Amino acid sequence: MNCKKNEKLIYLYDELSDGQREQLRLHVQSCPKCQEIFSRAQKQRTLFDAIRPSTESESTDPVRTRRIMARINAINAPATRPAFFQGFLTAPATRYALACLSAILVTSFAIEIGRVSPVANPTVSIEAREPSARVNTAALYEQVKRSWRARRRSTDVGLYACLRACESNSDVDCGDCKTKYLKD
Amino acid sequence: MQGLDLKHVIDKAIAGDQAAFATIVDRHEGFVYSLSLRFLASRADAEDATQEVFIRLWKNLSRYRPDVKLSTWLYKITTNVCLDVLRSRKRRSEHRSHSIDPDEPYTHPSGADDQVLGEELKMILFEITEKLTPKQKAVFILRDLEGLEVDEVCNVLSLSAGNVKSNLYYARQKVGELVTKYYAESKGNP
Repeated sequence: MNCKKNEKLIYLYDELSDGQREQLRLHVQSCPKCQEIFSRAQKQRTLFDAIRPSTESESTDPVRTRRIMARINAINAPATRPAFFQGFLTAPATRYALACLSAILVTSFAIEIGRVSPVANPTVSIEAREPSARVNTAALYEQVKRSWRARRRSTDVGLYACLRACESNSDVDCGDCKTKYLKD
Repeated sequence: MQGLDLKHVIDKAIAGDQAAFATIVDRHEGFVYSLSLRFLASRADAEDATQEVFIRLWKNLSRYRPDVKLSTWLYKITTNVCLDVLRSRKRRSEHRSHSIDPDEPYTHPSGADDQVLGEELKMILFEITEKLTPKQKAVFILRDLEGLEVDEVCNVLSLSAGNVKSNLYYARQKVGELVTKYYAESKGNP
């Protein structure tokens, strides 16, 4: 072992194992330089031991305690509150209740959507919402159906383009598209 | 018996009993204050740190694990609070040449020689430990001045044993050099 490494071990004497201590002691006995460092480190340890606090020296101060408690009162956030909420949210009963509530909300939402949508079944929904409007139901249904058909036809690009060409130029009128259009 | 009693007090404090928490504060504030004073070398800062420690304890009391000693937990909170203060001091570059408040001399109750020597050494160490890095200072205070075991220091500072020993070596070496220098200077200037 060299002296530099031993210097580190001397300063960490209390943290060494018995074997390491013995090995170090043998070296220190034969090395004046390490002996000096060892002696200095020992004195240092004795000094620190002298100022190590004892239980008696840790005197309590009632004023300090009162100040701390006043600040804790001022915070007005009891430590148990987060724990209570955490416990409440993770409790099995709360979980089941929340699951049921979610299911009820989803179902009501779905029912409500079905009720207001004229597309799903306009006759039923309009009658259900407003029985007095029964007279106009058929007409409204037809109107919706027509608008739907028109929309579908307009997406049929080929037929629409042919129809427009036939209408604008009677020479190239195929007649087929008009038949198809009227039939549809 | 005292351990059981303390456990009962802690349970009551966790349940929100402020009187029980006041008992915990009363029993431990002396030790928290003296540890803070070792770290911060300023009575006002140590006072603030002590309050902060117990506020953190109150806020986190529901997370208390009975397998950990309350004193170990308090060491951990106090060390963290004090290291935060030291970091903020460093940021503000409040490097004081005299760590002890000059208007507030370090008084001791009796005039016994040993005690005078102890108080003088404490004052010297306050100044000397200011020259250590926060980690070295924490390791040195906890191991050498508070007398904690190495594994306890590891637990409090969340460091490996190797890291603690390495910091301890540098701290002891530096403190040794500074103490020697201080005494050499004081002998030279009687």
